[in-house]
Amino acid sequence: MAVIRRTDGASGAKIRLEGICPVEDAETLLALLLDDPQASVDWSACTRLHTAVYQILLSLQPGVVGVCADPFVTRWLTRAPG
Amino acid sequence: MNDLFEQFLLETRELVQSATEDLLALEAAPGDPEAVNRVFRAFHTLKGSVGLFDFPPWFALLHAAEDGLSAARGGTLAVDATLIDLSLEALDATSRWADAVETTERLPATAETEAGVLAGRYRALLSGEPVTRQADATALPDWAVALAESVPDAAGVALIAVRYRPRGDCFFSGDDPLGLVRKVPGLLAVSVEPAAPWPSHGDIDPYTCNLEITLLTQAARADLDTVLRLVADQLTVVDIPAETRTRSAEVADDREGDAIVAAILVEQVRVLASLGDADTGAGRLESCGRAAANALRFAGRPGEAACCEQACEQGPDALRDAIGAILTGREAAPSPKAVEEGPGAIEVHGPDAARTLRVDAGRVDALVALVGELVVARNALGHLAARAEAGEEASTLARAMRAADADIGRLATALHRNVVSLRLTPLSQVFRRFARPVREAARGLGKDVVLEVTGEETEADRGIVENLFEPLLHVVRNAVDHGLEDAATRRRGGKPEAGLIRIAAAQEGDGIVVSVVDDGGGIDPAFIRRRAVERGLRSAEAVEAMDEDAVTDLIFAPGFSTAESVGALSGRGVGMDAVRAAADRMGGRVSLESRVGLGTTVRLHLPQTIALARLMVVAAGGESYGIAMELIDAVVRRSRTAIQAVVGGNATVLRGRTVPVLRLADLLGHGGLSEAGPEALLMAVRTGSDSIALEIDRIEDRIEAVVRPPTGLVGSIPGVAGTTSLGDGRVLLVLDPASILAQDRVREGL
Repeated sequence: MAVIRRTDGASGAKIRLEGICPVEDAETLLALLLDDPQASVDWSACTRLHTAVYQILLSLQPGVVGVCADPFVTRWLTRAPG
Repeated sequence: MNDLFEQFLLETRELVQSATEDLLALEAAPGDPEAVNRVFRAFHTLKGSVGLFDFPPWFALLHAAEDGLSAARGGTLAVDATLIDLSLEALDATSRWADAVETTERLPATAETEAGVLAGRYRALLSGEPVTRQADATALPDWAVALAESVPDAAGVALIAVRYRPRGDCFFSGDDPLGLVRKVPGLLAVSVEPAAPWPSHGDIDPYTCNLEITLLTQAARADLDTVLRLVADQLTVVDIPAETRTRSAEVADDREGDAIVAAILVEQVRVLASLGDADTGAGRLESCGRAAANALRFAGRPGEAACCEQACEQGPDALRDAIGAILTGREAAPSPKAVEEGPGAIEVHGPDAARTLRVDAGRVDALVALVGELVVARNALGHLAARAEAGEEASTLARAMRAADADIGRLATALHRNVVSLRLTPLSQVFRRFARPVREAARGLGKDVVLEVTGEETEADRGIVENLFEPLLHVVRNAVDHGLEDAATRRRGGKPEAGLIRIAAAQEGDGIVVSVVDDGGGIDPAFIRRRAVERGLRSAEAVEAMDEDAVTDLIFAPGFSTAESVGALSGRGVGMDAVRAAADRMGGRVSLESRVGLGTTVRLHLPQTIALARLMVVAAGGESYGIAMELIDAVVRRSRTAIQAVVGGNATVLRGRTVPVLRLADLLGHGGLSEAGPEALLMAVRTGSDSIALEIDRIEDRIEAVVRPPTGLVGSIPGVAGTTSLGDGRVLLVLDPASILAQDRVREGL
């Protein structure tokens, strides 16, 4: 599991993506975002983002914190969900 | 909308119509070189006219079509169903866009894509390559253009654009589409968009892929294929050639584009040189400037376009100099084709250019001759006056006056008839529009249909001709759909496989008959009876008691549709009743004759001339009369005390004005019995510039009717504008209040 709901609020983000985020994470992320639509997502520790997870970010457009650690996403895809 | 634009729309529609006819003729006889020529010329002219305005996709499509047809004309491209269908589609698009620009002054949003696809198909025909591939390569789709333009610093390199639409269930089969894209070498741009609009948040399914990924790469095709081979079915791959990369899809060929632009510019210089006086000159100057600027902008030369626009404001000389400068800078080596075709490219008025009003010259000549006679007849009056002054005896004078009156009357009648005939239009205008729908209907149903048209030279009032198309189309579609049997049935019945539809027109008495004949299966009266009962139109007993004619007539009953199933063409339950209603509106009727196994004939009996009028039916002196609604200002009830006797009659105040009050019954000579109730029903009627109040007994009805001009006995009654028949068969006299009054004044004067 690489989707973590944070309660400490250190970076202001409520949801944190970490390490390799596989396809299953899409469902978790969706559930968390629907639960708290105002939540922002910190993806600075995410090293690889699956298409399905990216699709959730693209469709729900949550606030995104940090620079994604997945170089492909940073290079080509940061425009859209950011 | 300015004149030029109006003329453009008019001409565009005419060209579309004539090219459509020629294409259909070509389909029937592919070898006719003259028809190919005409189609080519139509497209050529269309392109030239469109080029005068700012519709680049439209121009690009017509340009591609012209190329295709030019090849067909030169014999290098076969005139086959593909080319004809494609050209018909191009004409359809043209006609739709003409409608669009007329209402919104711009092309619909889809025009660019559509033009690209159609133009691509033309080019595919020319290059002989499979359609889809070539279409993608030459007419770049929007998404590929957008991608390519997002990477401006990679000019001069051949690129590949890929659109990847992963299947919705791809996550289940373990795909990670972006994971694949990561592996594409030489990436220059990636864009991820939703393939379809996102569902509302609660409905998002995290495991359904709804993405469209587009990417641009400079990798070799083979390398790309290796990476994406497993999802090849979900890809659209487009090669973007190095040189056309940054150009938009519609500019086909730089060199030729320039040649056309040069030709347009040359023509503007020529027009400028012929500028006349300042009044017409200003408009022409403006249109020259606009044409030149549009042409340049189209060719991707906005700087020079702006120059032209500026110069245009400074006057003709400045514009001529500006265009000259652009031409000398650019016209280093015009291609031979440009020289040959250049002037034609802006040829707006082809040999078949539009004419707004088509009047046979002979008719105008006849009118002129009649007016001449009228002048002569009037001279006779002067002569008579001189004789009267000379004290000639009243009886001989009266005879001479009667003769003069008869002369002038004859001339007036002839003039009237001739003027009315100006409105007569040949039915060919309507008939020629049927080739296309019949062909399409037949195709859609897989039937072979031969369409015969006869009597198209028959003439009728424009109002009739213009309203004839729709009801007739309904009948014709019915005939193709339900009338004609399929080929197998026809063979068994010993008929030729191709069904025959004949549209014919003929003069009949003072009206016309338009008939649609098919040699199909006919209509079985037993079937009509059954259907009428099923539909609850009549009871079973009533249907049994009907004779054949009455049964056939049931087809025209609202809600009767003979189709077994709802067909694509007809059979929606709005059937022949709509045709009957249309015929009624035009003052005609429709009849149907059918013989089982032999076919059906539908006849529309229509008046040749119409004047549909809204009438108010009023009662006065125990009779009913019609008065044109347009003459009536108001109908009011007035207490008799509000009607005062004044010198010369009665008067009342209506809307702040004093108007004379006259009893209609008195005017018409019914006189005597006056129904003197406490209130009078007054109808304010305009007579020329005056208004009068006519007292009537009551209002009976408001109807819309065809008013026939007074002829025969009725023609001799003064004050009658015409006659019409009421629903119950009575003949209604339609009054002309102005002439009744004039008559009345004459009587009183005497």
